[in-house]
Amino acid sequence: MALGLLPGMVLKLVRKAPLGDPLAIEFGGQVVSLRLAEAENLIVDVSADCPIQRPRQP
Amino acid sequence: MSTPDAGLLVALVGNPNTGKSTLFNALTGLRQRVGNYPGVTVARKSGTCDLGDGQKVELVDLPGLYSLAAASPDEQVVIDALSGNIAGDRTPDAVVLVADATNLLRNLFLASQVAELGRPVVLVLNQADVAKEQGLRIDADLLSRRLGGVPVVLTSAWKGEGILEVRRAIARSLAQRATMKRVVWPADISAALADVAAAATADTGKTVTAADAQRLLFDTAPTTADRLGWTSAQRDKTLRSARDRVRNSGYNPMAAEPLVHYAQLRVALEGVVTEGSGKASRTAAVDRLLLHRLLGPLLFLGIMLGFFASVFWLAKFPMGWIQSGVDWTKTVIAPPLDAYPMLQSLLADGIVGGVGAFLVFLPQILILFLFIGILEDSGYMARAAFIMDRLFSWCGLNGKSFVPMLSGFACAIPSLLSTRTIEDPKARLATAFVVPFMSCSARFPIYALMCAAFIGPLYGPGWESVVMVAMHCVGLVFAVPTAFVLTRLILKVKPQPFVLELPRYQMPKPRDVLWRMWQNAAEFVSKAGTVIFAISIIVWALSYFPRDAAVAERIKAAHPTASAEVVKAKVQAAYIEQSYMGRFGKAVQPVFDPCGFDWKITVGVLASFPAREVIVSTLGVTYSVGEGAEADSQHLRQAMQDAKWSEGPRAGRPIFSLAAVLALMVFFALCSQCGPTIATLAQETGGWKWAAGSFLYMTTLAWLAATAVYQVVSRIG
Repeated sequence: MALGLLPGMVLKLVRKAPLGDPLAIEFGGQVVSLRLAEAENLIVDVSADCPIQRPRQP
Repeated sequence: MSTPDAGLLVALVGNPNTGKSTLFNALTGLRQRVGNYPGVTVARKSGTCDLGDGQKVELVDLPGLYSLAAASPDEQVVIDALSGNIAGDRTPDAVVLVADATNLLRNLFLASQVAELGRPVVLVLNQADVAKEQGLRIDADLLSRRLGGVPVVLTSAWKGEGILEVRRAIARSLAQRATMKRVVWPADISAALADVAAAATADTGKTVTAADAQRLLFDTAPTTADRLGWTSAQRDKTLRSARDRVRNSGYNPMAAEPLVHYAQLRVALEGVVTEGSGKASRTAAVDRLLLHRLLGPLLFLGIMLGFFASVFWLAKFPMGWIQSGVDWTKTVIAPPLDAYPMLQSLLADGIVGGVGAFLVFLPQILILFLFIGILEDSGYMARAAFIMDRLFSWCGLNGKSFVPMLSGFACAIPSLLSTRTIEDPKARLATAFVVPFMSCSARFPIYALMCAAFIGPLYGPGWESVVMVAMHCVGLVFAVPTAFVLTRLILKVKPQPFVLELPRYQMPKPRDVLWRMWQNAAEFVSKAGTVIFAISIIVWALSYFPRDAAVAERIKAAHPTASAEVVKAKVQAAYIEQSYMGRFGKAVQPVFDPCGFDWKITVGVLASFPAREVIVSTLGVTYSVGEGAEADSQHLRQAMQDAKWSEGPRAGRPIFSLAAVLALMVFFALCSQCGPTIATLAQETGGWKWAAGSFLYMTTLAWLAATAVYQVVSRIG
């Protein structure tokens, strides 16, 4: 969250690493690498024009 | 170094990848000092900064970080330094916050947290040129008004633009002491913070600042409570009820801090940044190639091979020059001292020889640091970690462990220093622990000697290179399970989150890269060099004394017809045999008997503990072929091929059987035989505990593996 990944943000999966993990995710004008284990904590709504995600807290 | 006039201290704080260090170098003009914060291995970089009007202040460059939530030692140092909680260090009189102009919202989160500490603030929006290229227009005056009147300066530190304005802004900040507008907490969070502060004050009797209360309430790590000495049972109760209060007001207590800050920063930034049309970022295009699922790893391998090869091959020439310089020094200082053989031997063999053997590796170290600097500053290092992460995550390491492990094939010492790029302290420790297993270049001479003398002649050049490659893999094969056991069973590392920003690509600034290479190398030489110097003298003394003149007389009498050269070599060998080192070698030989080592090899092994490359010259001395033996020396090979056991059950059989040769190489592949590595490991892990552990573990492992190899091969061979 310090990197600014906040509820209601639009995420874009830019690419996966060669072995499928981690993922490169773009949000708020930056690209960040997240392991699958961390990405699992994100709730992502993939409905067409209103993508919403909310971080679930550990 | 001139001392800053008024003794004023200004701290530089910012996110990673904002160009903070470039700005620091521009402001201080390389008038810098590097030290260490007490008790932690975080470097304290400071320099003198001229404020443009003749006034000078001390500027300290704090580690880059995203948030003040104390998770890593770096973050803790920043919090402590900003709040004046570091012993022997002052509280900064002003804070310069460096933000990336292209990503203001995220960068201002840290600024907003720092504002809570109540220090005067200057906000620097760096990389303004890139923002402009992207079509972003930033209204600095408006932002300054929104943030309570703190100076806001647009800079491009890379191009040297706006540096004078920063100097003036610092002067203004020190005079006017404008603080940044602080966040307004919702009523329930505000009340919860007040409860925590009141309870902590009551329990500890210490002043608990607003910023302390926030760290106590919002962080799961107990670092702030520990510093205040707030450990009572009351603490947990207070924090639980305060967090419940936050939760009941609709905020997750672990997320409340960023949510409140970000919401208010969004309002503050309204109208400050206007987006126009700009060039699309080149970074995405480059990433399409460098992070391509097939091409990416191939390019990565290519870059790393190039990196590795150049560390080896580029360094070869300066290493040759240094070697000749060392040899030349010996020939210059030796003859005038012919009348004083002891002093001559101490200077030539002990000091020049010992320190020279170490200085020879300096070019490799410089080139390694240069490349690491380029990889880091260009932004590729983060991509390398991204590509490699999966291969390392299973054994508790992460993608950032890769570069230190790879560069360990050249030399463990700079690799240990490069583990500083790993934020997670346990992953860093585990990486540092396995780095010495990598087959460093100092192991090369013994492999080369053994392969050339025995494997090649007996089995042909094909097997020679197979053995060579195999020896380079032995360490790696043991390192990975070691890391697994260490992280999972000993350090009990829970799977750590590994979140990594993939920053914009950028051309590294030569001055910054060269400067950091120089700083790292200077630190390495001054620290490891002193250890090497001391050890060289000790080893020399042990193999020189006692030196009874009767020994030489006896040899001369026994070989009346031999040439002076041969007699000299035999005298050398006789002296070594009866020296403390030789006696010790004979006494210890039974320990190495299961590995198939005779007393001469044992002496070599023992003498190699400070620096493993010593083995070749020690074997040269004990097998009496004279000093200055090289790996390709025909004499030494011949002497070793002819060497036979003189007594015991193996009497008459060659000492260097295939089993013994392989066992010796495996022993050198695994054993911890490097004084500087041990010293660096102790320095980097903050104590001798891990260094001693590494020494015992590697040495035991080496003995077990060498014994296993010798026993198995001598039975089947």
